[in-house]
Amino acid sequence: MANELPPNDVRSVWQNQGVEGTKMSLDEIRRKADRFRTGLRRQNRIAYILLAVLVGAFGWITLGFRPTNLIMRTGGCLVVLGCLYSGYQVYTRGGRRSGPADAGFADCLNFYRSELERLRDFHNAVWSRLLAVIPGYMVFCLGFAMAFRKGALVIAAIALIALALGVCGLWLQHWLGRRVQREIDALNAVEKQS
Amino acid sequence: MPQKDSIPAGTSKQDPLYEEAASGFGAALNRLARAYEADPDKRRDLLQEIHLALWRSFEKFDGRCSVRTWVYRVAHNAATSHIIRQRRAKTLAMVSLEELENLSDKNESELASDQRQALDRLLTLVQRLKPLDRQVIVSYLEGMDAASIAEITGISAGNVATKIHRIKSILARRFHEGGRHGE
Repeated sequence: MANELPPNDVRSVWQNQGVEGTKMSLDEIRRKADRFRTGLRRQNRIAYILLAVLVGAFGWITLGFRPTNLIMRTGGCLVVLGCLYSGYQVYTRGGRRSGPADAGFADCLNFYRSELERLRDFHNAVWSRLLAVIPGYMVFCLGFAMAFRKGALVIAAIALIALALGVCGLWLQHWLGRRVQREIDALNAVEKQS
Repeated sequence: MPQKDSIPAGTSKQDPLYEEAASGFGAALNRLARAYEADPDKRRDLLQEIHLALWRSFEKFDGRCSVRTWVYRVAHNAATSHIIRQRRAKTLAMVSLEELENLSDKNESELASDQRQALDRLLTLVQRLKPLDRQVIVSYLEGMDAASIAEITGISAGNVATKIHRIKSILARRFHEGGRHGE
């Protein structure tokens, strides 16, 4: 066939493609490694600051603000506990791993599976973090509405919106987690074939 | 957060191993980055990530496999991490070789009259594939045999051979009317 481009020629097209700069100096590499580490620390610091603000705000409302009732205090305590749990999750799991330093030991199939498992765990962790905060927040809003009856409708509306967003978030994370799990199952099937 | 892997200033064997690998495989790593990322800016970032991962990995290189296998594993794995992070924002679903074989190419009837066009079409095809299939096709295009691809990817040589057969059939079909190479 005159117009044919056989696979071997496709290979040569691939191998002979022009490529731009191909190397980084060791100094550049070290600078990049330092920036990467700094970025990772900054990400975690932002998460801790946000959680600290929430803990401080709900702690102050729960313990120092007057007048409050028991339901509001209970809700506030639950939110604080939920935030502390989320902070612990960030501390133990972290947002991003610091790079595939061991990547050479793992073949691509195993590495890909472990990355997908990490992604699935990330979705499940978001799910559990939302679940840790939402019930306390709802109890808190109930107590708040009972304490300030004039603004009860507004508070109920805010609580319902927060609940709806939370439920949507839970559903989305659950769906994403299941989708990733299906890919993991497909990889396991490939491994069994091997 | 506890630092799981600290970044050292560079061990005595790490720097020369990286320098050697970067010199020997620099162009291949660049091509590999192109297979994983179409956007030029993101591709530059990916290439830097790959080089960083490679430099860091050589701290632990123990000669259990060849440098080539090590380099390709690290590069593919770093690129896989990259597309997993990126694809949260992407809407175009990745497909397997099997699915690709059954898909019709909208531009199949158009002539890829020169190498540039053939390369663009090839990149479009490769960038649509799921990571594992992408690793196989990139390794194939780099000229590796089934055994080497199996060592890098972790798929059995038999399974790789089946995939290569499929790749050849897809390439033959997609480039059948693809213009005369080298004319």
